[in-house]
Amino acid sequence: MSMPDAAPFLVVKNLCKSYPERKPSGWGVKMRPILKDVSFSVRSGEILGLLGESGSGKSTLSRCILGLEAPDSGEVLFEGQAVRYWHVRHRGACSVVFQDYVTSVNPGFRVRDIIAEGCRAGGGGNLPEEGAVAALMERVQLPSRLAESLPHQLSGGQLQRVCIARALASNPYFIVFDEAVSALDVSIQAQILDLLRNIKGDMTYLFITHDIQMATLLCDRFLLLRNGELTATVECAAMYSSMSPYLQELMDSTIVFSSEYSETPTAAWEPYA
Amino acid sequence: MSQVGAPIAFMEHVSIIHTDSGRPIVSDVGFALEEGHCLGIVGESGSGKTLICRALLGLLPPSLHAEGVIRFEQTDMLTASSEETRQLRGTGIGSIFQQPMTAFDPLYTLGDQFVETLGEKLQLNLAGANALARYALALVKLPEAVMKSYPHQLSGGMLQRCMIALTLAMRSRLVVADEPTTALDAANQYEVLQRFRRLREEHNVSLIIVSHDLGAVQMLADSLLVMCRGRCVEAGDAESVFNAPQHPYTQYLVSTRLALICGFRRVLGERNVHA
Repeated sequence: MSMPDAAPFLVVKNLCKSYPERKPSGWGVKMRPILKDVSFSVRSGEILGLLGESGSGKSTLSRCILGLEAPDSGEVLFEGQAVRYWHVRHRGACSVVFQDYVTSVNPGFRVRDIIAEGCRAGGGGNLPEEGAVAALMERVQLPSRLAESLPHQLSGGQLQRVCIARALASNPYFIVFDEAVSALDVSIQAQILDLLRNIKGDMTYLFITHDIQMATLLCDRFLLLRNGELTATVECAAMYSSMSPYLQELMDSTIVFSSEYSETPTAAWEPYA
Repeated sequence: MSQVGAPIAFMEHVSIIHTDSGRPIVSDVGFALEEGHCLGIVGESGSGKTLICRALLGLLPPSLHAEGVIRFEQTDMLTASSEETRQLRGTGIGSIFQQPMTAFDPLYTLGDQFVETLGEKLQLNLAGANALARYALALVKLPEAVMKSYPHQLSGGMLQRCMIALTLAMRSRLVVADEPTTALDAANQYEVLQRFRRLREEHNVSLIIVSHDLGAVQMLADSLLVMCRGRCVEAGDAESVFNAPQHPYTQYLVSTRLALICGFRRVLGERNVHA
């Protein structure tokens, strides 16, 4: 458990980012703001959700945090250090899992090599130790017979597990999940979320999603992003004390499945057996 | 004329077979859809949901063929000529596909595509097709500027609504929606589903909705077909299947879905405490 008064792990201060956009006349460019003065902090060991519609700037924000994008103004500080220094000094400490599992792996690599690449990134370029890849595959519940498979031979859920194993390979303590479960079948989503919870340990997660049901299921608290502005920080345990019109609107437009069936899911049914 | 009570779409013992190897991909599926009703088809990816829709539309890929009985109104879709089935698509059976971005031609404005489709299907002249397209877009609450836009300039939700507008304009009697909400984000999903509901209530359109999202299907469907590995494992009235699933696969689907939303339901429960 993290202490509320402990120094935050990640601080984002007054972050602004804009992208160039062609003017309607077709001549010249103007800057279109994507993130407008975003500030928040992530406590060590927590699962922070980032909730917003498509186009709200979620992915841009995650790219700024990952150091893939330089902000126009404002700061991203990991443990008090600027993001571009921190990533260099702490190789492998931060990992990412993207939404599109098909395009985030090399189609010509075998599963073993995809995961080994992550080990090398975290281990200063050295080849992984004997058994390291097998241990990672076991950690994400991938059968070892898949080690020699190519990505197109795996199902979506299995491939996303490979991506998670690769993210874990560098021994990170901070992982960004950018819509990591959104492209999966609903029944597979549940399995992947279970896995994320099981492997968490004392890692810190930033979990980006557009689905409020996911956010409330996994996160301790979540940030509400709308048109590039942070509209609210919501504690999942006390959602109604921080109710805003936008949050209400989101909750009303959520399609909630209801059923009187009350058995807990059994792992006995493996859809891709 | 269709007689009263006759199903608008009917399938019996339908198998879809890979022609070269003789391997069945879907086997022994059947349903009867009454006019004005909605059938939901749920199941994992790769279970053959989409193939059933394509068989009904007469749009199976060339390497596959269907056996059994597939009827739309009075037409036998398996023996009808390709010209006959082509005439039925659009005006008879409208279809809404999963990927809104690939359903339209990226090189033409939506206006051009509406006018071409409506002109061909309803034998309208340019002005008539234009007027009808504008009217249909207004029905789904899209601005007229959409007519001059290219597909890449619109969001997934707007394109999805354009497809619905097209089926409205052609007065399709049956709409087949294949994963209509999967590519959309939560707020748009709700809006699109509302649109479908209205399609049924105001225009008496029959609906087949295919999805792996049980919440979306529950919102619309009267009856349900659960598919697993090319077979129909459970069928029946939607509420009773959702509330008392019999087959282990259906039980698995329902319980994992419930497990996914338990966090949200806890929060909703909190609202009741506050109220």
